[in-house]
Amino acid sequence: MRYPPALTQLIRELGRLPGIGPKSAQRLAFHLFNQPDDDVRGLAEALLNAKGSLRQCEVCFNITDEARCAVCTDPQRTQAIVCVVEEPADLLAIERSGEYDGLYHVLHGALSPMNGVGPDQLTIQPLLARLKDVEEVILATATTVEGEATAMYLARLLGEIKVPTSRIAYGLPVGGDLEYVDEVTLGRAISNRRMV
Amino acid sequence: MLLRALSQLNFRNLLTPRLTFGPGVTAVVGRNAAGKSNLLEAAYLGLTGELPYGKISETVRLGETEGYVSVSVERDDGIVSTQIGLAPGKKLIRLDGQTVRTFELAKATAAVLITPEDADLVHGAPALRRGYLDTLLSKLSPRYALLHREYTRVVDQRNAALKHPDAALKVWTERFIELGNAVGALRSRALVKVAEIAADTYAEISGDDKPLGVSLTGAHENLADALSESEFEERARGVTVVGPHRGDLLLTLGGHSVQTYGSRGEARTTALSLRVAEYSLLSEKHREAPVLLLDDFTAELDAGRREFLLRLAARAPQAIVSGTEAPPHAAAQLFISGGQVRAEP
Ligand SMILES: Nc1ncnc2c1ncn2[C@@H]1O[C@H](COP(=O)(O)OP(=O)(O)OP(=O)(O)O)[C@@H](O)[C@H]1O
Ligand SMILES: [Mg+2]
Ligand SMILES: [Zn+2]
Repeated sequence: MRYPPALTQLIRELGRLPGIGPKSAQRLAFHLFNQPDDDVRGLAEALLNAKGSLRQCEVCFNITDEARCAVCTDPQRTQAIVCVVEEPADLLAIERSGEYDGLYHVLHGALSPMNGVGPDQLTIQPLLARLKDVEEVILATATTVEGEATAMYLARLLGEIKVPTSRIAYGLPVGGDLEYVDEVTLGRAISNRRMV
Repeated sequence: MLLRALSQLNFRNLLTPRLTFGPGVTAVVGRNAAGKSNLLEAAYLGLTGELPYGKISETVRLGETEGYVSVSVERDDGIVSTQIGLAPGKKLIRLDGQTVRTFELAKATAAVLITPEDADLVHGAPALRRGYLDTLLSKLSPRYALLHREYTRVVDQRNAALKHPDAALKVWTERFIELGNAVGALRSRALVKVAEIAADTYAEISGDDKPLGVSLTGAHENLADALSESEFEERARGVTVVGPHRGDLLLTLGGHSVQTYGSRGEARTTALSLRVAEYSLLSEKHREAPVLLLDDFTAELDAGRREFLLRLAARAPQAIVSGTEAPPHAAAQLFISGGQVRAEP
């Protein structure tokens, strides 16, 4: 038996979402089909609304519903520090820590030639263009191979134009006994140590 | 450490869901195609999260889509259990219920498998010998496991960057040199020990005065220099042609390559010596012996090597030894036929 075209198309569209495989897509499609019409309409409207009203902040490329995001328009924040992250979700994670009150810059990805991502596919040019009065750039890309390469690339670039640059330290989980921390984390924490 | 129990579902032709083991030598006896190698392979997978050869998804019983192998292991400091999923897709390894990576499993459990196929280590492609070294080092050092994984990824990224003019090749080259030098240095350091034990073992088995040499080819003092020397070839082929991912183990007897000049028997003794080095280094790392899995000792027709294998098994705290007949002095015997295991023939 074949599914009706409308269902096949729905499964295909859902399957294109990140983290959704063909099986999950099928499960989601059937789930949606079993929901009341109003719920499905609500979801569809939420999707269209979000897409229609959300955009990237013109300064930092964070997700926002205004021209500039809530961070960029907050006068309380330290304007002279910019923290560079890969994705808006990373920005939120750092915000949740409550430790940081500077600005951000969202790259929307990391260097990955295998996926056709070079410097021109990231928001690197706009980053360079906004550094006039910036006193420090913090590189907070991931510790993946791609995140490290991106950090190194930016560090070289920023070094050339003499902008002080730091890399966030990946260290030990808080409240953990040293003996239970795996060697790799511990090794990284030791090599990233700083003077106190 | 002792393998106490082996459970499985849909692993190749095995039918018995759960088997228990004790210390000393356990014989696994059966005719050709009974499932002896499969049983040892399942134990190896349960203990290491890896297969000696081939893909995990191919071990799912034909006609089935999923399965698992699970072992319970008694260490000096307590009991641990593992579970390895067989379904295609992302490898699923659990250690005491927690999802872990292969190198994390290697901190808790260990096994060494010696099979007739090991002769391929000498005569097969360089990738097999690299695999031997990388697998062993990853078990001995989590740092190596991680560095090597990152290095492999960086090589892939750099190869892609070589084909795209705007891909920031320079930064990938820089990472490649940094990680490649680190991987190379750890390899060279570890190889000293491997070479020493393998040479001693070779001398013990063969009683020969031709010394076995184990060294690395393609190990560069500094990858940066090697890279600039290979620039022409690299540009022509569009891939990274130097570095640890291209290195090979050079095996020599009395200074001559075993791969090229060795006899069949010399190749087998060489491969066996490498496995003994693995056993001995893992013992040292865990401060207790890994489970020794000796597949098809009856295929070993050379009296000297067979003697050595049986001595190795007898000395081991635990060894599971398969063959078409039972080895002498086994503490327990299992009979296998059509994938079904019994304690009586
Ligand atoms: N994925 C699988 N599903 C079902 N059967 C399989 C699978 N993989 C292998 N087999 C079967 O398992 C059988 C036993 O193989 P195994 O290599 O364990 O035999 P053996 O007892 O070691 O024999 P030998 O003495 O010849 O080495 C083979 O007949 C093979 O076809
Ligand atoms: Mg066999
Ligand atoms: Zn903003």
